[in-house]
Amino acid sequence: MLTVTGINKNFGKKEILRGFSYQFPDQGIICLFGPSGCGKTTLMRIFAGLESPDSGDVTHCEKLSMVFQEDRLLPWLTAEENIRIPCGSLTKEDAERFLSAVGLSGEGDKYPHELSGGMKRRVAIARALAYGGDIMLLDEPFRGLDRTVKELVMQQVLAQSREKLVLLVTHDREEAFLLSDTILFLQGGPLHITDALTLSGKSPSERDKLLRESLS
Amino acid sequence: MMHSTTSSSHIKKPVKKLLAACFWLGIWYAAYLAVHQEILIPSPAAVLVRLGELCLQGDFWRTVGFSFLRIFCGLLAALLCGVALAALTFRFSLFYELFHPLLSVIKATPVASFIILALVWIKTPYLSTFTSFLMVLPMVWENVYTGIGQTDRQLLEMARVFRFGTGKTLLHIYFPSVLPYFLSACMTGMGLAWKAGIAAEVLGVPKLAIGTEIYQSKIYLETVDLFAWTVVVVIMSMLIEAVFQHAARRLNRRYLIPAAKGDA
Repeated sequence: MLTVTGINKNFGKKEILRGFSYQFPDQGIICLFGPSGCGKTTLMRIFAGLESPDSGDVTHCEKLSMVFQEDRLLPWLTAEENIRIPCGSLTKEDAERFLSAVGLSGEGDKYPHELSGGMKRRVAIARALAYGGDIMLLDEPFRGLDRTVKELVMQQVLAQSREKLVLLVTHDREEAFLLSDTILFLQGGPLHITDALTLSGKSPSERDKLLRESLS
Repeated sequence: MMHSTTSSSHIKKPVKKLLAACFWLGIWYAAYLAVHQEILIPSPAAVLVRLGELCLQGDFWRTVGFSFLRIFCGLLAALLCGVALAALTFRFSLFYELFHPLLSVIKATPVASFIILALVWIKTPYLSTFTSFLMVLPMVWENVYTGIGQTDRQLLEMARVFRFGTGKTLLHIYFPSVLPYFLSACMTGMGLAWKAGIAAEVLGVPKLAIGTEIYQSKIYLETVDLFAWTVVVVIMSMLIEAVFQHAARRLNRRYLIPAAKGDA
């Protein structure tokens, strides 16, 4: 359960959040969709405990995982070690399983500098999948992935969303309409929800239709 | 083509070093021939013979061993205290304000001033330990402090989200990040500790010390001995550096090389 109540956040004189409140469900994919700089990442950072709101309450479970905008892999560890280190008891075989899930089977022994941008991204996603927790924060997770790989990773995210809350920040309208159970359309200055679209239970064709409608 | 270039450069390097050594030995020998007074400049051969004689004496090895031990203790203490102090001053700005002027003063003060002052307080056997400690401490502190400051904030945030805890954060993020700065301080610090320590021994004249032997040689105008002991200092310094470089290479293989390639 993730609940935010009346949170305020300023950076200097710039007001990012003013009395922002929302109660997120326990499961499903909630997409935060809005223009760059509107405060989505700040909101995610507050959820992750990396920023403190100036005032207001954020209540959520103890353990959450995150895919940052950057890969944030430890350059001196292999892909497999990057997955295992945060997870404590994870075995080498488990790490390999998570790497396979994102299409990186057999790449566990490589260091980040030996991987392409897309591969590093997938290691970061595998790390978040392996870590577990009740909430998964994804800040533009599919950036730099080609279509085939993106579909594979999306399947993993969808599978996760059946048992936990996945918060997805994206600028890609297609991604948002394809994956989300709810899309929160956001605007900045300060951050506020302009619209909420529920897509839960909609078929791919219905989602596609709604996407085309939103584009027109 | 590539192979031949690489292998020839491998062969050439030791040969180049040997040629350089021969060149400077030649200069030394030419100076000896020009002056032709053993008391001012002894011949390389005389120094080599004297060095051989010294090596056969039991006290020689004890002298070298004790000098090394005293200076190494000072160096080790400086490395430990420097790291601890860097962590403390980075974590608490009050400590930074408190220690920064002191360490700046230590860094700027001539080593001879410290040695003479320390002679009043400390027993001569410990003088070289204290001096090498004092000379190396500010350097280690400064380097490690910079290293901590340069640690990737984004990785630290990742560690917070994934709840690494203090141990994992220190081991997997701070340690590899600070390591190049620490190794650089060690490399410079070793040479400095060795030179400052021997200087302290020359002024303090403790028993069984290389510095004392150098001092005695100077007093009795035994220039051959003076040169022989100086050669011992140089050889010791090179040996310590070689051992350290070997250890550093092992650490580099684990931490620095992947990171460096990644940056490139």
